[in-house]
Amino acid sequence: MSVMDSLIFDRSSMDLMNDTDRCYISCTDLNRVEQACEYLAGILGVAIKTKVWKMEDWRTGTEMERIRQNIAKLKEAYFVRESTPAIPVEITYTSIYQANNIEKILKDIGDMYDSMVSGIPRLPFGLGKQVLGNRR
Amino acid sequence: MQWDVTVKTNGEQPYSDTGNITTLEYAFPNYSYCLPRYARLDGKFENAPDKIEQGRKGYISLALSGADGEFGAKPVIEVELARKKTSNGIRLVFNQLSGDYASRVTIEWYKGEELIVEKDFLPASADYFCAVKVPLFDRFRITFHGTNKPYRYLWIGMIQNRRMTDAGGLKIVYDDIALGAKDSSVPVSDDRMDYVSMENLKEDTIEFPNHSMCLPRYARMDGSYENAPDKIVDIGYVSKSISDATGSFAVPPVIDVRFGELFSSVGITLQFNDYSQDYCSLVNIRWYQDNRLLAEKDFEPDGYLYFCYHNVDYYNRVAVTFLKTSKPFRNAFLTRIDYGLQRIFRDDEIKEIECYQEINAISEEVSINVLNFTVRSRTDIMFNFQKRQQMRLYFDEAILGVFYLQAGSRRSVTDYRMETQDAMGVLDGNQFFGGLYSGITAQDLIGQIMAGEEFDYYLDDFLQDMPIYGYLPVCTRREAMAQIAFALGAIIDTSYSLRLYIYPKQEEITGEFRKSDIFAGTVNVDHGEIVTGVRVLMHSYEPLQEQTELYKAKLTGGALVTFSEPYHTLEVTGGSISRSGDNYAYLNGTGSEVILKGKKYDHRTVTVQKENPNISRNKNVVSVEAATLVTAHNAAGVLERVYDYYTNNQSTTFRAIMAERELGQVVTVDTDFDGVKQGTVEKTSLKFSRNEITAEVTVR
Repeated sequence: MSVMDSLIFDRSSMDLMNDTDRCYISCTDLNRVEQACEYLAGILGVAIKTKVWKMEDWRTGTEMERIRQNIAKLKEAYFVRESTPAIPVEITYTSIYQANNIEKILKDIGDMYDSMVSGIPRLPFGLGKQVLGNRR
Repeated sequence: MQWDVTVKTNGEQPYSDTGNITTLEYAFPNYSYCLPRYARLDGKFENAPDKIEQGRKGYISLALSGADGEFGAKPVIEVELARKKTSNGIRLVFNQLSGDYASRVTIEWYKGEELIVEKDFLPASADYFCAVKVPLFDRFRITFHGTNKPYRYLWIGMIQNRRMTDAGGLKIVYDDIALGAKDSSVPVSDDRMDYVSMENLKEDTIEFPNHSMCLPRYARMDGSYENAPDKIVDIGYVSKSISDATGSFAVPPVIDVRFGELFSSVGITLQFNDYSQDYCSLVNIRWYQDNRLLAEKDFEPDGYLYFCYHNVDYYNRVAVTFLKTSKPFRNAFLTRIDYGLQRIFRDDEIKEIECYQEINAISEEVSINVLNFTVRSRTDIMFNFQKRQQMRLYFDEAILGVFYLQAGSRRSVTDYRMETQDAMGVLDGNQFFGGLYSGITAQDLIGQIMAGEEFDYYLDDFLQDMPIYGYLPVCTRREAMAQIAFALGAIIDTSYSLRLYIYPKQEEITGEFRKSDIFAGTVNVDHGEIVTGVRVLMHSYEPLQEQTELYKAKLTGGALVTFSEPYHTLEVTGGSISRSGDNYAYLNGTGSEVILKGKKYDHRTVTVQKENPNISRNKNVVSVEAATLVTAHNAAGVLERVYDYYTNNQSTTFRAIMAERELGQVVTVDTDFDGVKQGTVEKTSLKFSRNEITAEVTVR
């Protein structure tokens, strides 16, 4: 599964109510965002800096601003949907909705790229990935 | 003291007066304003004088409300308290005569810079109580949005904070800890994050911040965690190791604490992460004397603050090993370590209690306040009585005094008796070497006396730069403080504060004991000995050239020589002086005869006297002779103060409800049978019921 498929943008109040892992932000979540940025930067040819987060790290304001600027560069480099959320003024992760928005922006950029590569309509399956006889 | 308040406004009329608006109720005179529908033609309002004098009229705003009753520039009154208070709410007395009042106000309560409570109120009368319970605060700010009628100034006759009631009543907080252990400790750990300062564990105020860590299930996205700064400081201990999915460490982190001397305590209190409330659920503690193991025990904390009960005597090393965390994938956190236990006694545990507090209006003596009590302990944790352990006395969460253990004893299986004294009692046990002073500021001299003492003190701004001249002999620190207070006209007071207060004698009346506050039949007006005059000796010291032998003996090692009077130009033969002052010298010798010589001062006294000119017979003159900080610089002021004090030979004693009234306050007392007396609250013997403090009060 590509990192783009692992992005989480459907956290809800039920997560908060049930105190699921999805309502906490940890190094795993930050690494997912960093990896998605890195992936998109690669295919869009954008120069950004990323970091590998560890459990013992602090989530600093400086690093959050770097991530925010990375996302801004990626959004500027390609297309997004009309419904794509705005980039937050400051990444604070003080709500699950901001976390959703951050990952949704990345997801939308990725989806737009996938469906518009060279202007050729996207094949309904990953070429060469499906087992013979399993086509739909 | 409750009267030590600062009232600030953002604009008021020239005749406005907010001086004692928090303690006394003012009434605005019945002068006719030309405001619409104000001065009704019913004979209640009079013509105003050409100039309205300032004083005892309360607060009158500059701002005038508009046609809709709203203020353009809203009047704001800010009240700062020298000591923290609690509140049940604030009573606002507006213009009682006209019935005008503010129709909407916002009150904000602050503790330091932190906003604790903010609330809007809609007063419905000219005497309105804004009810809200507020824990300890030291500042509140009232914003007045509008008036109940159009085109009105804001008149305030009183802003009265009513202390919190029904907030638990009597409480004594007893620090049953090994005194000096924390200061003497040197905590180290090989397993710690780079940003950790182990010195933090010697402090009492470290709190874990709300910064986001990247641990699983740590920083919840509900607004309670913020981005961290680039530099992390002062957060206590954080291990480098992180526990596994079971909460166990591959190699458990250890904090090794060594002490400069031997200590004893009933156990060790550990405070882990007080923000996230993560803690270590299994901890091992070993106590050593040097490297000999004295005791070892495993503990299973069940919260972020946990007392590890194990009484160990005479240890100088403690090793705390963090074996397991309460949640998986966590560092070991420690924000505070106390070598002992903080105990809290409520009135259901306190069997007997006596609390005596006293000041003297001219500081001719500085009393030691005492708190003695017996507790019936509900826990099996034994006590480890150690001199100078601190007790803080509260009533409804308001501080009444800080005391230090003088003696403790066990009376039965459950009962313990504690006798304590205030900071002055502690100072009475410590020596001060004194000296000759020629213009040293009060701030500097008091700083010298208090150097090395552990308690905080507050010297009023007015007194800080006052110069001191004269002489202090070798004496106790309490005696030295009393001499200074007497010379300056200051009062030393440890009541109603966490700190020792030194402030000028109050002159203005800031409180009253009404008949309804006083228990019937308890008032006694005492007429002391009639004093007809006062004699005060002014001291001066001039250096002489005559040399005197002060010490002569064979000396090996060091010796301290103290002098009964000051000497200058000290000379030593056969040894050396390592440190000296006007009243002492530390000598060092190597076995031969050491001779110390010094030159005297010529101590002269001049008498100044004041007598009652109306009395020519049976004279009784009080003489002040030993106050050696009384010189030509301050003798006139001292003489006046002592004369005023002694010629008022009346004191009033009674039993009353204390409510907001405090020691040191200038009050009026309605005696019922002998008119209204005025004086300073000099003495209280407090009694505690479940809801109220009463006291035997002496006012002079």
